[in-house]
Amino acid sequence: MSEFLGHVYNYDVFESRQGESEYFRSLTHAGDAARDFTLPGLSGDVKLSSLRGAPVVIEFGSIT
Amino acid sequence: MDQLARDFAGQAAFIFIYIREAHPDDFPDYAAHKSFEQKWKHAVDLRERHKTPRTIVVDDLDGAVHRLYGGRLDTCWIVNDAGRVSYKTEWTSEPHVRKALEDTLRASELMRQGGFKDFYQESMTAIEGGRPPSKQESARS
Repeated sequence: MSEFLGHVYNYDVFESRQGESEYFRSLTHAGDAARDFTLPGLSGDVKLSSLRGAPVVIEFGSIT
Repeated sequence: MDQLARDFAGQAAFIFIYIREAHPDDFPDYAAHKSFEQKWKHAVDLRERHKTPRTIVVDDLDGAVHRLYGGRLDTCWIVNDAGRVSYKTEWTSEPHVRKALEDTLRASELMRQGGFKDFYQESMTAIEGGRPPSKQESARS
């Protein structure tokens, strides 16, 4: 089972995770090049770097 | 956030990245993902439920892109037209994202006009009582 920062990534029960906030803050900052990715989408694949020329608003989330 | 996408249609792209379930224990129909197919189905359900105008993409089962962007549950990032991060927050608040997007567009326009060679801005949202404001609190602000 995959882990993230010492915890199960796809956990069954929500719990507050020590260290996640600090990790988030330590990553890429304003002014840095965005980390590129390609993901499958419900309407086709999306590659972040192919969207250059307009701002991209990216939200991470789920139905729960 | 869906209204924000409607308001800025044609000016910005909006991507929703489907990640692990945040509260699988509270939603019996949306348990923790055991397969990519299950995760994909949840994303389809999200689109059907909210009729979102945003582009929905699905991260892999182990959250590769989610980890790349910090692994928090409800984060938002804005990447400017040059591919650089102009905003990041670990707790998505529509009014704050709206303001950041307006700032990003304004900065890009100023640079196009030659007013600025570079534009840099940092901001920090207040943490209330040791935690970020809830979605309900943010909606009232």
